[in-house]
Amino acid sequence: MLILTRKLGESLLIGNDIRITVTEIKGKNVRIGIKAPVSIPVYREEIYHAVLEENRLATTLTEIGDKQTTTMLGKLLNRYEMKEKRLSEGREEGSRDK
Amino acid sequence: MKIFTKRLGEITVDADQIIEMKAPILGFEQLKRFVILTEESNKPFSWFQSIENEAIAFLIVNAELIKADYNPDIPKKDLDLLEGEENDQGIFKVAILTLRRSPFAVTANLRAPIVINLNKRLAKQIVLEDDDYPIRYTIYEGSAETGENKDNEAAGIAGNKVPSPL
Repeated sequence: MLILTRKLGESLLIGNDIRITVTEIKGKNVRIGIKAPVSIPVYREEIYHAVLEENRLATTLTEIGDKQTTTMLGKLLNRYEMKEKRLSEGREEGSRDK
Repeated sequence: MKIFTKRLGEITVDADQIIEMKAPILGFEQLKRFVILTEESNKPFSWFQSIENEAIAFLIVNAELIKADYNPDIPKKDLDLLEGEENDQGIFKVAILTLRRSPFAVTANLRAPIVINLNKRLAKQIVLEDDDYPIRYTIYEGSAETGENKDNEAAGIAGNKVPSPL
């Protein structure tokens, strides 16, 4: 890994269009500003890994037997049909208030 | 065009139904094109089916149905990426559902919704800055009897194959 030392307010350039700036140093915390094209997503590493793991789990566990998935969907549907109804009722009440 | 899906078998998809990922679903970087498959019998749930990998389909639902006050800020740069605007009627935030065994539960990922601009057919999985929204938001907790109840009326999953928006 390339390791560089920077002072507060100094930046790094990665390629032509990504700039990383140290904006604040406070005890053990460092605030970092990132300027990158919109096409380059920026993630906090631990959240990135947590989401990635969850995505993988989501695809594997929908492969539980079809019957189980179907049964589960049926149960959820019962619940969410009710909730959906409540939501729309709520909206109607909201509009009546105005 | 015809595509084969592991879950729903062979289905016909119009080119204008295909949704392009402007940034990947994390862990599935190679998958760029998806289609939303909604079965009449399973509404409001849908499958976010990969065009490129027949085995990959995410179970999704409009996140507002799970949490009525779900209204996270979508960063301007992401709206730009999806060619949308604030309060754009074409923009939907959908949560990926995870089915868990032992104990059986269903959770929704509210922290990293797939944000879809249906008007432009563009999408991105957006990881929210706001940590009030959990990755594992429990929407159903059941007992182990799942699948045992033969009287359950839930329709077969290979029932009506109706590709449709959310």
